[in-house]
Amino acid sequence: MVGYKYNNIYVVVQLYSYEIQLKHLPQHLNGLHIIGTINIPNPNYELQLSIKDKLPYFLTETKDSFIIVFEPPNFRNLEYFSIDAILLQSTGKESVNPKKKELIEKLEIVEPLAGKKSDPSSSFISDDVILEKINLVLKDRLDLKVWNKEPGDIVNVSKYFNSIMHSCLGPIIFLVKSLQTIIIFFIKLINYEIYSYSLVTISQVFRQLDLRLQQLNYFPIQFLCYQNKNLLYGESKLLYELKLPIFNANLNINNSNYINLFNSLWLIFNDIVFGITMYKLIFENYDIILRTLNEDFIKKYLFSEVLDIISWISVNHPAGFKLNIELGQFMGDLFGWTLKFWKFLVYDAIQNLSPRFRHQLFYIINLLLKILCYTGGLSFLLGFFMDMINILTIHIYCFYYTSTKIYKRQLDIIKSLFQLFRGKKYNVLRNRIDNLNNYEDDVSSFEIDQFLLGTLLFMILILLLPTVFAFYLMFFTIQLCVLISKNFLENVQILANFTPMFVLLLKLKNSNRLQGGITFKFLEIKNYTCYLKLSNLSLSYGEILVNFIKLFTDSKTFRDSLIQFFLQGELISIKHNYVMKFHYLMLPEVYDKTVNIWQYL
Amino acid sequence: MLRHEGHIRHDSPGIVHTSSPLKRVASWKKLLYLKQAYPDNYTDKSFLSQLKRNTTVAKYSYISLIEDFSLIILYVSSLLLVVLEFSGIYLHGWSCILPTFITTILSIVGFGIVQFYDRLILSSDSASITSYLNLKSFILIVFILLILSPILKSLTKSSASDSVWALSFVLCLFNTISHDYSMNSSSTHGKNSQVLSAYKPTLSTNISLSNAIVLASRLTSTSQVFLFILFAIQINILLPLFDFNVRRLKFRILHLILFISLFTVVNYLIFKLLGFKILIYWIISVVFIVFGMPSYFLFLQRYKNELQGPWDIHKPIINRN
Repeated sequence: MVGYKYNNIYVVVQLYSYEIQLKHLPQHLNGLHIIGTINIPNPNYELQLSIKDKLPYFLTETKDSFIIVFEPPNFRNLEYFSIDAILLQSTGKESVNPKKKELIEKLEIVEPLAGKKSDPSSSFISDDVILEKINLVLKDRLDLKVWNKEPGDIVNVSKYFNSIMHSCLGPIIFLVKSLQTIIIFFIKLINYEIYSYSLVTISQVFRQLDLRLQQLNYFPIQFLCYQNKNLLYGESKLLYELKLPIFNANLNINNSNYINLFNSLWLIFNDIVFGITMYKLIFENYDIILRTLNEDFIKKYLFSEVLDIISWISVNHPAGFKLNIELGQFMGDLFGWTLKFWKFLVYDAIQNLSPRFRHQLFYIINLLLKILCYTGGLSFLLGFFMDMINILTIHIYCFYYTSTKIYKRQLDIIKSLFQLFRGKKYNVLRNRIDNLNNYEDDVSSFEIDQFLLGTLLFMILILLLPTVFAFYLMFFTIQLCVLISKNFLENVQILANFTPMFVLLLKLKNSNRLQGGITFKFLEIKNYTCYLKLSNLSLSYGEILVNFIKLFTDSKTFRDSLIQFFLQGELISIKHNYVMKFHYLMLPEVYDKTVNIWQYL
Repeated sequence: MLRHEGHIRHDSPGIVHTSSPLKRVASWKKLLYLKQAYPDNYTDKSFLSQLKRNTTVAKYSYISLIEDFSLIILYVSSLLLVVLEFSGIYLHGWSCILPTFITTILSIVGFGIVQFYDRLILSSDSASITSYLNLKSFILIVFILLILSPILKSLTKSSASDSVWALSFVLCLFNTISHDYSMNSSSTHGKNSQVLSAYKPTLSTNISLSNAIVLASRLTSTSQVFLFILFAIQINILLPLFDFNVRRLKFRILHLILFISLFTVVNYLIFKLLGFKILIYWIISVVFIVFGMPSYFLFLQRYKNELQGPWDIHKPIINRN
């Protein structure tokens, strides 16, 4: 038996039928030596086994020993054993696993380690060194064969293929490098900020473009990382400069590159396929869609219904509430006039254009949709829809904004005047309410005219508050509907962009490639030796999907203290956390240095 | 001085100790540092001779109480005047112009008098109190009221009348409770000259105005709204202020004339608008408040039990000589 020995652990790599002389081994096979024999009692070696019923047992007397059998992981398929789970997506911060703490605590009760000093003469199977040797068993076997110059089924085809690759490597690298520079330039362009507004912040299509371009930009590094392990282990400072969300030279965490790369590629492919389907659908029903858009949406929902609601509130007693008719009429006229103006701008202007101009306009929109769907895919189409919603409901947003400001201002004035009503004043410096009688009499107290004026305004504002509140409530509800529809579209977009489909299929096909830890299966116990089977514990569905589901809830929210903001008169909008999406895909923060990867090749 | 101390010790019932009548015993002194012939828990008759009861309690005289309680009636009458005037305008269509005109003239005259006498007497805090209201603020208020009248007219148009009357009643109630009556009986004990403390009817001023606004929003024309609110301000806010100044300047006769005239006007209006029976009820309650409540108040004084004595903590007087 040829293998490695570490303190009290023997790792068996290969069996030879003769006593092989292991001298002048190459560097990566260092440490290999004959550790024992099977079925040949030989007192020179420590380990002496005998095979019976497919399981080895000790010839010499031993106590409390374990024999662990395992399937050697196929390193070409990126299988290996690992204690830590492979990290496919990250949330940007180290997550503490509470279950781990529980298990450690349980272990402390059963086998307390605290008292024992770390014994340098004992090793555990969970040591990194041992696991690495176990992982390299297959590779070591192949290398031994090569070193021994045995004729075997060494694949020479791969060598042939590699030599072809190397010859045309130069132009390919040049092509990819130039593509990367162009992509980086585009990313910088759409992220360029003018007065804190950039193309990315204005339009959803550009934001999606930003995500897609950064993904494409990172693909070469992901590809190289799993092809060429030297990049990870080597002295390349590049990967530190890129500021990846979680970077750990530990192989486990970085081997996710292969899975992530193919997942992204597959999702992009799916995206484009869906996009083309959707486009064909739209193209066939183009006229119907346009007509529905014009008649139903713009004319009816966004205009007539809103006008009806406004007039309902301003003049007729809405829901039986008795509001101030004068103020209601004034505000209703204000909003109604603006609404009619909007309708004139959007609807009547288009209807009154000459047919040729209209035809051209619709043709341009058609062309735009075609470009989006064919080059971008479904997610770009969804971004386009979101932008259209933003543009078409801009009047609703304006109304909502105005009524919120009016309501908030009125509420603030009422609060301040109420203090006056009681004879007190709010001290801004000390952030407290002062009683004006604290000071010298009559020096800083209010005068009669101040009281009377303040009370007049207070009564007027209090009695006009219900009317203002009715308008505010109405526009708030309409804006809420718009926000809910935008939220829904974004959910579909997340589904299209981030579903871990590849990971789920990989789990079904070959779960050894999704390392979630190692597990031992008890076989039997015989003569003081315990037989265990070591195998890979693949990631559970929950672990795969947990970050994905978190994307739906955490990357965008508008439900935070909704009622409280509504009552106080604060504006409500969808708050985004865009960095989360980049962290999910493990994209680097510094994207312009990715070109430098080629110099390390 | 020899005193025959034949006493019984109450705390030990079984023992009766009488001192011999022939023995000379010094009288018991309330001094701790003296070694006296008496036992430690001896209670002397003169022990409580230095006890003072109710020394800091103010002593009220019936007449002054009647005067003070009449101030309540004065204010309530002014409130009632406003409400009655409103019901006259609203229900019977009285004209607004005349009452407001009268009250404006009266208020200008009244304040002229007060300013004149203040300058005449030149008391120390005259400037602070009468600078409360001057011509500038008056004109300011009048103009702003004029501008805001159309808004005020339609404030509660859509509410039912009943809710407005209920709101007005509650406001009047709070007004009565929170008004600063500045009764001079409540001045501190020991001062012979009754100086009136400052007059700060903050909350009651604001509530009076709210009440006037709420009632006025029921009226039909803008000028009516403006005139009624002006009237209400003058009766509810300026009249008590004027009365306070009159009492401060110690014009008792003027105060009495004010009181009697206001009371008569209110009685007349009650009679005219509400009928004889309500008037009788009103007069009975006034009599009860003005004559009955002070006697009850005096009756309750006997329950005051404030003790003071030489064993209270003294503040050390540091001799700086």
